[in-house]
Amino acid sequence: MMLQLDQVHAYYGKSHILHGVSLEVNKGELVTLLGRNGAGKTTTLKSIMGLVAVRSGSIQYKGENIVGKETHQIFRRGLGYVPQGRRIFSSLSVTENLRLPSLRQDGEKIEWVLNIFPPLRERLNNRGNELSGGEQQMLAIARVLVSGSELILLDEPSEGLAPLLVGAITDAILELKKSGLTMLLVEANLTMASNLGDRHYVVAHGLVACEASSREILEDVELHRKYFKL
Amino acid sequence: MKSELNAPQRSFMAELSPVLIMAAILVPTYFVLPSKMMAAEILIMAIPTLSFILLLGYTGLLNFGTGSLFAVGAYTAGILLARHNVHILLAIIAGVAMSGIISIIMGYFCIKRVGLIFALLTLAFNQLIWFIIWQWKSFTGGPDGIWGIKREILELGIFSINLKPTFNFYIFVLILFLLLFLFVRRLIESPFGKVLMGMRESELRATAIGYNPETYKWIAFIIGGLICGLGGALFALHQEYVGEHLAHWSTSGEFAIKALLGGTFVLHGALIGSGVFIFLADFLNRFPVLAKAGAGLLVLGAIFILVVMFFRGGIYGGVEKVYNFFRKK
Repeated sequence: MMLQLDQVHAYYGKSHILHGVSLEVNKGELVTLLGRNGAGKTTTLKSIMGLVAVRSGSIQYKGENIVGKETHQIFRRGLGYVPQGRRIFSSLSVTENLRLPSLRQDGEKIEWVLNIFPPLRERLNNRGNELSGGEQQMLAIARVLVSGSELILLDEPSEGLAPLLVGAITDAILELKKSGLTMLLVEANLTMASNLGDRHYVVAHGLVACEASSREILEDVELHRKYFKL
Repeated sequence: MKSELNAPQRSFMAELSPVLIMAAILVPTYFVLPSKMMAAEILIMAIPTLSFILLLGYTGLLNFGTGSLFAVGAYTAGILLARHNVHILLAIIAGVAMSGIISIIMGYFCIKRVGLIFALLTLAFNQLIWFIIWQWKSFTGGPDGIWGIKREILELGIFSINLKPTFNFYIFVLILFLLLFLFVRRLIESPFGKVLMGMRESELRATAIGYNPETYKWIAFIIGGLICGLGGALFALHQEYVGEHLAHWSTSGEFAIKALLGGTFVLHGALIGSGVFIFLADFLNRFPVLAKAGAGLLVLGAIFILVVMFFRGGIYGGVEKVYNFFRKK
């Protein structure tokens, strides 16, 4: 097992957000976290990365409890995080964005990610703020990939993208999955999640309510009514 | 493709050319300025302004301790030259080193906070250093400052140069300034500089890709302190006097104004801001009516407000904007 969360309780100040989240991600798997807005999906990812204080419970990454570790230390252990909203460095060029996570590398890793995201190849000298939304999302994912992360946490990569671009991002994630990369994906687009995920956790009210199959998240009317419909 | 993805490599001449162009402009500038002392002063004051720009424009740190670090460099060099008659280069190195040591301590405490709290902490340290200088009369001369600093012959083995003539001193300062400019330019284009720029945009994003912002900010702060120390040591030589006013918060404020005036997103902004500020202050003081009423500062303030309001990137940014406008037409 690569990642295991056990009874994780997290807070924003005094607000109790995660009420005992437990989940597992095995090597090579793509696991999704689904649920309504405010259910605690993003907070779960932030807790794993040390961006939200975990008050109790444990987060084991490759057998080591990473609770209390600094975010940069967690990243250096091989956990990459692509936050919501395409958080790239907009004043730096595409090349500089790609070089930043691992300054001593040669161009080989970057070549690899450019093969996964070909549109970026044409934009290497453009600044981040000159890219389209889809290209920015590709860059945000590519930047984490070049660092050599073994497990990637993706927070709503399809958010705000046109259907055509959602397709391109889906294809890229599928290719990464084929390459053996382990991923934990938060996604509101259920069709995309069902196409990509090996397993699905449904999060509600700050804890994992149930585990569902790809077919169930698309077709189970009761599941929809309870956990996805607003 | 591979070379495109690796760190940019420039030829030696390409590296030097902007500095040579600056030298070609700055050497004759000495002869057209109304005061011969002004030329060196512009360059010297551009040094701590460069430090301010490195921290604010490239790292996102609003440092109001620039004046005190400048003063530490000035006092260290001044005391060594006036009381111990040390070699000029040694005095400069000591000034730089002492400012570096102080900035290690100052930075350690300040970089743990961000934004306004960081700025206020640096201001508090600035005033603490000013207070020590003011009170420690037996060592710093208190309100009287340090007199008797001599700018004399600089011996460099078989080669020596008399720094007393203002032109010789100007060339000496110019060489040091251009070397510093080259260093800072290389620094911001290095991977380290790119991390600083990334952190300026978002510390969170930099943390999420494995960088410890505190370490990087601390190193940047120390480099900024070393630069201020160089400016201070040269200022002591330039004025042949050091006073407590150098450590006052208003000196830090002056460096901030110069940086904002010139432009905080480019290194040239330091030279432009320092040049425009010092030249205008001198020019306005030439009108007795303005000088008497203290209206020179009022005019300078109005110019500053206009630049900040209409040109986000300072004078450099404004000129660039106008140039781009006409180029598109």
